[in-house]
Amino acid sequence: MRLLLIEDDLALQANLQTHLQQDNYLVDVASDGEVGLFQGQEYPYDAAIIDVGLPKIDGISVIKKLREQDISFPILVLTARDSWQDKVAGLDAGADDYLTKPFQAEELLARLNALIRRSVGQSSPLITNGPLSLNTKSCQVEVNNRAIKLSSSEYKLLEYMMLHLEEVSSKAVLTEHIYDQDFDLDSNVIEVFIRRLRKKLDPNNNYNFIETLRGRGYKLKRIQSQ
Amino acid sequence: MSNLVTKDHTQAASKSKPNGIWPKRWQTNSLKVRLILSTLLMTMILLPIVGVTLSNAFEQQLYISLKNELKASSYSIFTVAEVENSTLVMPELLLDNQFNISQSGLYALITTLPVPSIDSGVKQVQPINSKDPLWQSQSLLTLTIPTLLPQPEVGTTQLTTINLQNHQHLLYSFSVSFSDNGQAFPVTLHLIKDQQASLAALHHFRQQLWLWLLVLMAVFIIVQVVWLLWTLKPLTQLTHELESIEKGEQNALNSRYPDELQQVTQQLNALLVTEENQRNRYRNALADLAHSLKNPLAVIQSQPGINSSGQEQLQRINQIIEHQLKRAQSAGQSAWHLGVQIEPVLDKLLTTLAKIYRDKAITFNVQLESKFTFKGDEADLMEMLGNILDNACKAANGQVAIKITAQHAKLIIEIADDGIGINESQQAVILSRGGRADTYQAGHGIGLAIVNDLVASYQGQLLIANSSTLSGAAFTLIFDL
Repeated sequence: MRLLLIEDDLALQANLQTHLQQDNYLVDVASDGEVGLFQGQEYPYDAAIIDVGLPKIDGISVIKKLREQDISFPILVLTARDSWQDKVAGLDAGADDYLTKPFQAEELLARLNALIRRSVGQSSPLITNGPLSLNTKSCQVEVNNRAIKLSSSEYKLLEYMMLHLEEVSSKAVLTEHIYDQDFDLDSNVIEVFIRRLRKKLDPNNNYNFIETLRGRGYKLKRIQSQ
Repeated sequence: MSNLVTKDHTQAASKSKPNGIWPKRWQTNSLKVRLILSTLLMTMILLPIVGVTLSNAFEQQLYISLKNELKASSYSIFTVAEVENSTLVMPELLLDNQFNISQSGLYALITTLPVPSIDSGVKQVQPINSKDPLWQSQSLLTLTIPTLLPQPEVGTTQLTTINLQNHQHLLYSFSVSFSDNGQAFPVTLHLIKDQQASLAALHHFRQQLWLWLLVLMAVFIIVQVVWLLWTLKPLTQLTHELESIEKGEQNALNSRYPDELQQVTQQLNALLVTEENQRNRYRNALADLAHSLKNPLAVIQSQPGINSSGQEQLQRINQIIEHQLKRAQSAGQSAWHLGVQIEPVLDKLLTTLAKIYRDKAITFNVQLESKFTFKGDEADLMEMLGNILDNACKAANGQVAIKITAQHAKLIIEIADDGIGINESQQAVILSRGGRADTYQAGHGIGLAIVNDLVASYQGQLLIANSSTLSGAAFTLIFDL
């Protein structure tokens, strides 16, 4: 999952980035509204965390401009102002939830998790697809109730595909959602991860979870429970 | 204790403050009533005085002209009178035919004037019995001659009235002395004039005078009332505009006012703008303060490895900042309260809450009797409603009911949910919390404490009970309409 974090307080930005990365998120940061808006327009993020009080362009305007361009990823607003007027203004501009500073990191992660799930029409942290289940909260993956150990990159790849079932994702898209922005794009890496995932999830090729569409990308197929 | 005393003192001071020497029921605070009363007073007193004066002047003038007329007649009679051998000789007919025609209304007779006795030194003039006049005009022949007639001194006149044939008559007596061979021959001429015609004229004049005065009075009153309404129109307009401002329908006085009011309205507009700006500035400053205090707190809290007691202390600091800043921001104490339409504020909050509690899919049941306004600040209203609604959404299973009504000039906002409700001891705890944020325990929301403070600053009431329609709690806010 790739996140955009726009926060002007560098210490807070760094702390949040650490927390989010620990929770398997890829985090792009911006320290002012202008850079944040540009990044939000350029990259297909899974969610954004935007502070209200930003230099250059304030947070509310950034949200408004993103929404005006039909950019629909969920947005969590961070605000030091705890009045209902500010909450209403934030959510009215197009944000999906708000969090008042100071907050506990766990609270932020829980809200973010819920927002991302909700944005793909998933209300519980446990996503299942036939014998395959993935818990976005605990980052655990099971096939037929048997726990599967995945590396961080493999988990990120599977989580993204689970949240986008039956959607074709190109190698480029997958790379963007799994690697930091400065990572040198090498499409072979995705191929390697896909091969490993197939092996770990379905060693006997019973389900054929991941389908390859030549020249277009990969798709996680919906499998009816037996 | 000293606090209590101070409170009582202020109450007593504000309660009884005499504002004039008049008893209360004689006082009126309406300019219109004052002006109408003074106009009526002026019309009811001045016009009758004018009427009486005119009528008296006319009557006097009438007498004077009658007197002059009679004086002229007396000269014409004396010109034709002669005394020969101690006898008064008069022509048979007089020049003025009124003296010659019987019962014409103008009569004359001449009586002798007894010479006053000089010995006594006092000139005594007694009215004499005039059964035997020296002469009487033909018009008087068929009538009974009045008996007691005045006897003015020689050379003087006297004007009285007598009753003749049951009619009021004017009697003009003039004494002269003829000289008959060196001997004085004093006589008195009495002219009697029927007053009926002049009385009728006087009566007619009075009738006309009062009729026209009444008409004038009516016209005067109508003109005054119209003039009054026209003059007071700007004031009426000002009242209407102020009402609209209080209702939140407009935020400044827009109409053109007369020069005398212009300064007041301009100042008022300036005051409105200044107040609004000042409050915004204040609010922004406090928001900046909150921002600069809370960012470091957020940094500390987001640092890994903070233990729970550290977290708790941070939470406490945060709550104190939050509560005190919100209390400072409240506009409740402001002297001037602009009205805020409740419906748009509620709509905005419900849209926001529906988004926040999307997973719960809460149904909001809004009952708004009419377009009510809240006399206060929009941010304060939003804060109170937002906190209570947020609590209701947290507690609710799927339904929140909002009912806004007016009773006995009070605005009543009731917010109920279908949660498990609040038991009585908890209700008491919520309401008995003091105003100090640092008395709260960590983890307790300060939302309701802020609501309580805000409600108090607007002299409102916050009631907590169990909902009569839904299973959960019902919070009721009561304010002056």
